[in-house]
Amino acid sequence: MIDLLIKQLFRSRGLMIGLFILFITGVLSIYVGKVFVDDRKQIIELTEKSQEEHLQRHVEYGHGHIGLFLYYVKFGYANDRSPLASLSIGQNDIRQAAQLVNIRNLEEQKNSYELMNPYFQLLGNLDFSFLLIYLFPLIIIALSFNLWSEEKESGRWPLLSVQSDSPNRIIGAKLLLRFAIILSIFFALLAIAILSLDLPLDSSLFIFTCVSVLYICFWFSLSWWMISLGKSSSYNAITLLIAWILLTTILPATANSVVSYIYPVPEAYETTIDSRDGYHVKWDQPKELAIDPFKKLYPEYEQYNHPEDASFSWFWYYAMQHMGDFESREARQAMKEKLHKRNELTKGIGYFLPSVHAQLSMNAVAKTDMTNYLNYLEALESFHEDLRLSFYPEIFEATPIEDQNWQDFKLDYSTDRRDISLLALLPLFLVNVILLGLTYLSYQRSDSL
Amino acid sequence: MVRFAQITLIAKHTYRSILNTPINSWLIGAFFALIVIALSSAFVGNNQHQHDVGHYSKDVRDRWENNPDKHPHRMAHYGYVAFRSKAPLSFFDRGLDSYLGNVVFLEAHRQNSVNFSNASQSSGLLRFGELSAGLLLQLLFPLLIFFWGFASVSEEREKGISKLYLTQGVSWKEVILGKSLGIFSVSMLITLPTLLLTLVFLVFSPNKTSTLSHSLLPFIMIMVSYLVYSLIMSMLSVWVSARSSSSKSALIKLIGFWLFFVLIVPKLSQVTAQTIYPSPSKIAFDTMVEDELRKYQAELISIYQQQNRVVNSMAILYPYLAIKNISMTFSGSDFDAYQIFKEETEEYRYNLAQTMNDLQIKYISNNTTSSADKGAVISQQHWKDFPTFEHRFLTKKEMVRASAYSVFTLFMWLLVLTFSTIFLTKNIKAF
Repeated sequence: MIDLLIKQLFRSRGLMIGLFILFITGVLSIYVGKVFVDDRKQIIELTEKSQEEHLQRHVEYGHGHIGLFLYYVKFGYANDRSPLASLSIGQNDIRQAAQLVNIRNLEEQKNSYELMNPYFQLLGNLDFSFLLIYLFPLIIIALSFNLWSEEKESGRWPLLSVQSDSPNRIIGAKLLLRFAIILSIFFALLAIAILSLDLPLDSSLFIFTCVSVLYICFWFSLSWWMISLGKSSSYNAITLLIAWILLTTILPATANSVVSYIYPVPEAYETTIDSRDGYHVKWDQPKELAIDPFKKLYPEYEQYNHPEDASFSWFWYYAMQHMGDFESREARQAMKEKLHKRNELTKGIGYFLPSVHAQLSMNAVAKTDMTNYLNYLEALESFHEDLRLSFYPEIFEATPIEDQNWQDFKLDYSTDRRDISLLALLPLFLVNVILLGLTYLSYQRSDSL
Repeated sequence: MVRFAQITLIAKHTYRSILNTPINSWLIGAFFALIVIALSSAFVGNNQHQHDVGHYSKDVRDRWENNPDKHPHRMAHYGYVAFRSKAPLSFFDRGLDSYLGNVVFLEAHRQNSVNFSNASQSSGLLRFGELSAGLLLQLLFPLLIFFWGFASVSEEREKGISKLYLTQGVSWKEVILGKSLGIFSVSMLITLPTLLLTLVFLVFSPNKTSTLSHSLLPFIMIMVSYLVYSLIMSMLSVWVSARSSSSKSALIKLIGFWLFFVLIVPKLSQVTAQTIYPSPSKIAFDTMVEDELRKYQAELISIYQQQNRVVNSMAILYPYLAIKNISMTFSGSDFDAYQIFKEETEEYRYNLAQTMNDLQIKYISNNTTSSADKGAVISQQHWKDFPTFEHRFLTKKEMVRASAYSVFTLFMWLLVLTFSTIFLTKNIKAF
């Protein structure tokens, strides 16, 4: 029986081409992921090298005062990433893998992005998550939409139903067969990914796999429910296609408009203006306006002072630089809160849209989501603060540049140690249960007729 | 020889039979409702953006003018903040808008990046696409047209109707042209109201960054291109239907084409373009440019342009990328429009530094040692005299140039399809 079903399936040329395209595109998507992580690795190495050379050059140049030296040199801070980023690139294509910052005003340095052709951003990445969210469902729909209706339309169904106690079992068997084929393609691709990308077999990969399998199940459950309603092939085809368009394009895009409408971020402009004003106007103001609040912020530097009548001192300069950042903190904080709220609202919407939830969960496990970026920004701020605080005494005391062992200043990493809980699977699990329940009910109803 | 009376007759019949199917009026209504939502939300969003830009530009200007008397070099460092405006028609097609930075700090000695694109602030949803009339018409509208056209010829053949009219002297080319035009007229029930609504929004738009008469040619180009695009899609669907053994196989082919050329090929061509013309990463760029910024900046832009050319060349295989490009350019949300903004900000930055430099030469004696000296100060009236930042959009000529290749490809498609319908339909099976 089963081998006949398999034969029947494999004789359909269109479907075979579909499966073939799915597999080839899958392999390509893994290649895209590989290129992406290799690039990232290279960027981090280059940043490391650049920092080392930069320090070396400026040490040799001999700036005299350590304040002037620190005006120039930069320190690298990298966003350590999960190897899974190769499967779900998320927003990481426009985020920098590592940044070089000096200890001056941070606000004007931190908002720097990876260079990426904007047209490419619009077209989107061909990563594994794209394949899973968009292509797998389409193939699943094509494989299953007419399982029952075709039998009825071709007139085979009455024949089949008298040959078996429960004809619906045959439909179930056919569907399971297709499920098995799709899952084998998925696991084959995953195996290729694990081998070629050196993915560690850890809990992240496990959750990633579960999310993917549950998402695939979702489309099979939806198709099964559609089939069980007993409508015509063309009705099923168009309904499932509309469901696909709604879930993968229209509803997420609408959600995106809603999120940005509810939480607009004009604070981004405000921060830019405030931080620029924050320190530039200080050149024209009496020095105390920068120094007094700075001392209030850091009482440990009480003993330092700006030399009277001098038009410039490094003490005043670094105090003034930091106060520029400090004065834009309200707009900056407001902006961060908005971004957090956007993030939370999006997650909330995801509970109702399996496509969005699957994508967000994959991004979360791969640490390529908004949360990761916001955490990185926080970490960058404290990295910058640590640097400042460790150098302030040296600058204010004007210790010789050579007193420090500059070669010890290596690239630092922020690590995102978030644990992704298994609860992330719950929404996808529930939607499957509901759909299977509906399928069961509709079969019950048709049996009792 | 093609007889127009026959074609019109078939077109009318096709038009009526599509509209007589109840599901189609629902589909048309729902699709148009989506377009109305997309257009109005983008319109509101654009106006909000322009409102913010106006508000913060004024803030920047006030702060600039209210700077006290001081040394001009300090003003050069104080600099200016420029905001990117949205083109009046960009509510129709958001194009690259969301991926482009919106604000840039212009200061002497340093070229800053344009920051805070919408993409950089997105929670990840943006990657699913953005609701806009352009997206709906380019991406999803063809599916609707395919749905009307996939069975147009094949079903009649399956039922044996084709034989009837072919024996009555109607030729295949008349059938295909007639049916294509019929489907095209149904498609106009969506395109025409959409374009009309766009025009109404355009006329009543509070966004006065450029004059209405300047937006008229772009609007007309958009209108013509989308009509041609939907005609191409109508012809394609009928053509595939005529060439397929069954309606089912026609539908699978059409959706397969769509899937492959709309979802996969653009992404693949992006990978290809990046492989042929690799663009540098930020850090590689920063280490390179330390000495010759301008040169490398220009190089980076030309790499991007070459990459975009590779992607756009794929329009030969399928017209999706052609219409995407045309629509983006004439809506004022394409790469070239952004480039103009960047050039203008750079020019403004340069002028600002130069003007402040000239003021320094003119008014401040060489004896002063520091910008903090009491004598090294000029009146704030000079700040007021320096013009405010305003940015322009692409001129009509630049738009035409930017979209020339895509326009050419789109019309080639129309030409080739018409040509094949007229000359290559002899061997289509009648049963």
